[in-house]
Amino acid sequence: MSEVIDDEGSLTLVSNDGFQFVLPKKCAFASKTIRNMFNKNSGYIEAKENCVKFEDMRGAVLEKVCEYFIYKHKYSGYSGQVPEFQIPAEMGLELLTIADFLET
Amino acid sequence: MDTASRRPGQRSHVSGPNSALTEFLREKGIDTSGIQALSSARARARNEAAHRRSVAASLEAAEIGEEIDEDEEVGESSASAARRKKKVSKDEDNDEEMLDVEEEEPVRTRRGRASRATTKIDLKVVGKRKRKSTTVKDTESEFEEIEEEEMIAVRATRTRKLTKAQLAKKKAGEQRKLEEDDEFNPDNFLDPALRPVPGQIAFCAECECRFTVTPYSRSADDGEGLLCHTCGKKGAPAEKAARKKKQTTRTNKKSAARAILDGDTSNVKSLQEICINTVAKYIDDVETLGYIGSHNVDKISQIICKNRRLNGETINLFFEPAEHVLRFYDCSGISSDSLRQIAAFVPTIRRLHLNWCGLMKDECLDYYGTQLKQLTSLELYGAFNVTEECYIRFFKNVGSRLTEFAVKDTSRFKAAAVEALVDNCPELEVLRLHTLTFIDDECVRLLTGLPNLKILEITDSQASIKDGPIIDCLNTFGPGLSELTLNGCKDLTDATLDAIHSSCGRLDILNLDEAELLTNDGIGKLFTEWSLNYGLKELSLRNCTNLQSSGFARIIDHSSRTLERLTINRCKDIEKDAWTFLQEFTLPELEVLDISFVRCVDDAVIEGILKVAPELKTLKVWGCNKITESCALKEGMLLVGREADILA
Repeated sequence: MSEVIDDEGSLTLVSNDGFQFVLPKKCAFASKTIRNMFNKNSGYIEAKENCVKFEDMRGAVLEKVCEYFIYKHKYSGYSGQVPEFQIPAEMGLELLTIADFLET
Repeated sequence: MDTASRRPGQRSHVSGPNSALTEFLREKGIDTSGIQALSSARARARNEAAHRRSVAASLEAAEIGEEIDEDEEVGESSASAARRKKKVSKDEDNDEEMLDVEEEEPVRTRRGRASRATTKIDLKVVGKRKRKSTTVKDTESEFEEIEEEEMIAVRATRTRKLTKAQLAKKKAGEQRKLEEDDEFNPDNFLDPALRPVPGQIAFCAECECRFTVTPYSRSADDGEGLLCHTCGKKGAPAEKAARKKKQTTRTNKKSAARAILDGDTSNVKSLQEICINTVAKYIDDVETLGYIGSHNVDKISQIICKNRRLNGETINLFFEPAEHVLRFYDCSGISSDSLRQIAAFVPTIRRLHLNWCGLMKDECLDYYGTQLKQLTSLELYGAFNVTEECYIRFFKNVGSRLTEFAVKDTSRFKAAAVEALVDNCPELEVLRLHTLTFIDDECVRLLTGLPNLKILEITDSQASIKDGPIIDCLNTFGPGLSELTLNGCKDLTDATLDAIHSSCGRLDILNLDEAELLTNDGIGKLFTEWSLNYGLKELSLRNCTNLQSSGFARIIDHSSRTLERLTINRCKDIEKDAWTFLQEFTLPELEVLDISFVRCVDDAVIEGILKVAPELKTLKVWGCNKITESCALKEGMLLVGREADILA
């Protein structure tokens, strides 16, 4: 099955406590999981609605994930010194499971 | 006194009468010889400077010709300094008296110099006093007759009119010169004899206030004198920033070099990596890891082992009851009891890998043997306390369940243990014997009893291993072998290559590092008409120094389609024609190539390799000094060890 992915425009990520984050698709596609959802051929409803709801993600964690997407988009391919991405220590493990799920 | 008890160089404790100060210094263990030398050098320097100044001053004085009152003050201070000096040298004289007879000669010359210095200073004093009151006639007058000329010069200094600022300038200039010599200002260079004594009073070149000189006093930007503490501090932030900047560029360069060595190509880490680093950083505060995926657990284990943070506490985090695989990469801080707990908490374990488990004792391995009912694979690195009897018991307990076994860095794994392994574990498929002291021909011959062996590694055994037993082994399990690593078996010859040629049809990985006796013809013959074998995936011939272009051509001819990793490190006889030959092939699978110390490699060769090997990811070129920075490289490929990168 071929990939038909449109990375123009933006999408919305929703946390389980109702926070919404709107960000460019290009950035969010740093996650392979989200990218696969938006493959038109795989027929996910998320692709039609341009909106992904994460039932097991708190707003605070999803915010950090979005921050990472922007960070990655900004610095990938940049040859200079890249600033470190800061994660609060207490969020480390939770974010790790989520990063594992998102394949990012 | 017994003559034998008197050792040369030992100081005799017999000494004459000496002063209270000398006694005190000796009691406190203070050695005055260094101070003495320093003070005499200082006095000499001062005199030279004074002399130089006086000559200059006498010239200037002719022009100015004015008298000032401050002069007296100056004279007074220098006179008291001279008196102080005199006292010091007297004390020194006393100290010298308690020195050894052997030291008498150098001491005498030093004393002579010191007294000469004192004389010169006295001259100054005389000059001053004379001017103050002409009626004073004292014993010092005899000096006047002796060195009339010098005295005149000194007097010229005194009569010279000096303002406070001028004086400060002069003093500061002197101090600056001295400071330049000091480690705080390494760029400057000045006469070390003019070193100012910290504690002296000087005048700031900027605000002209009085301050006490310290070793940390800075010199003014224009080089004219020293700065006081407040003025010196003003310039500090800029300097600090410059130093910091220099440091960061150095760190950047360092981290870039480290990234190349670690094979780290992308500059943005994945979120998982960042999280793992964070977790590893705060591992002491983590209560439980929870379900984060076994590959993530392994990564955390790797990082905290690398940072040497695995201990009796943190190891508990990794005990997931249903886990099948556990790898600890540095168990050096873990007691035998904690290691034993692995078997108690995770009885389901199938693969266990323990690195540097030097604290492991017999009872721990015994416990593994009885408790771990599903264990099929065990790697024990550096368990040097475990005895041979214990290994034998372990093999008996585990029996045919064991399919993989690796042991490294111990002197207690000998022929008897190998025999027990062969007798009890006939299903063994993987055997790695790494850096063991007593693996010799006898042990290798025993391995013929393992018909199912697929991977055999014998690395860096301290005993010599000859062709015979290896050939016997290859005749038994050669057809099934997929990996053969005989790293550091220096006594192997072409006979082994013949055996490999005739029996090892399924071989994927061949490592014959350091086998220096292999000839070019032998290697060539191995790869000529080797239709039995489809092609090697990995070949390492590090330091097989006889390999030449023709042998290399045979290798490429046979395995070019399949090779993924190729190491011909230090095969120095490979000439340029080999690389020309390479152009006729493609190496579609090649990912890692090590051509370090193949001296003929230059930019053109690298570019040629990149053309024929599209998948190449890592290229090691240590010691190929013909490669320049202008060599065209591919995006995403890692070039490790290029001299131009390192030296730049």
